[in-house]
Amino acid sequence: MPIIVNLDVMLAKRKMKSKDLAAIIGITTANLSILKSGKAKAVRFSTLEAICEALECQPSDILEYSKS
Amino acid sequence: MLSLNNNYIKMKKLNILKSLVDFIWIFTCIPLILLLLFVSVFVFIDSSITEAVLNVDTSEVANSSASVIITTLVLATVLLIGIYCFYLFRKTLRYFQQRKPFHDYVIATYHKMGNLLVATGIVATVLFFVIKLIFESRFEIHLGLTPYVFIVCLGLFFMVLSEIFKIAKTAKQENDLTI
Repeated sequence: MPIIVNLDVMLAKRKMKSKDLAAIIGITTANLSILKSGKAKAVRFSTLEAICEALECQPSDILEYSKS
Repeated sequence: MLSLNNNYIKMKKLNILKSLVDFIWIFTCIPLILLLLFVSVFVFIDSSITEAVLNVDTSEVANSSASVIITTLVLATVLLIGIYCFYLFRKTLRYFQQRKPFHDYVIATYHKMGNLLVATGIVATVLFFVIKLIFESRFEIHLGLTPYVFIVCLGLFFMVLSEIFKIAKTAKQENDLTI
């Protein structure tokens, strides 16, 4: 998929664990793992908003378009 | 609470359907298989017994025992395929009870049932047309709703249902992978 999820990078920058982020934004660690691995087919705006709020970043910091 | 009640009503309908299908399977299909095997064996051993079984018009039937044998075989094959499709349908109901309606097995089975029913309907129509043409020298084409056209329609319905289930499965997968 040409959309790359850079959630790992942002988590490392904020020194936050996946488990903590999942707890803050209210999704399961399994779903967060799907999102991190790029297997997710879609992201709800509400989830994106919660991630951006928790990591204090912009959607562009998490999502990236790559022509391939 | 309302949703739970709705689910209960839906499951109740499914349970009624499953019970009916089980009842038909035990009391109709299994004895029919045995009867078909019995008739098929006697068709080859003594065709006069077949004439007694298919005693519609003995004088007409006695004229061509070959046509009787072929007609019996075609009817027996159609019935056996029908019973097999019913068995497959009964098996898919178990998946519905387990709340797995979009399982790969259900999709594949409905497609298989559709193929079998369409092929059976077409082959039976052509064979009966040929039998009447050769043995009775009658050129007959039925334009109305014959049982074989109904079988073809049923087969196509199952094929369409299989395609719809495939689309539904994709939609469900996408929904499950939406975070």
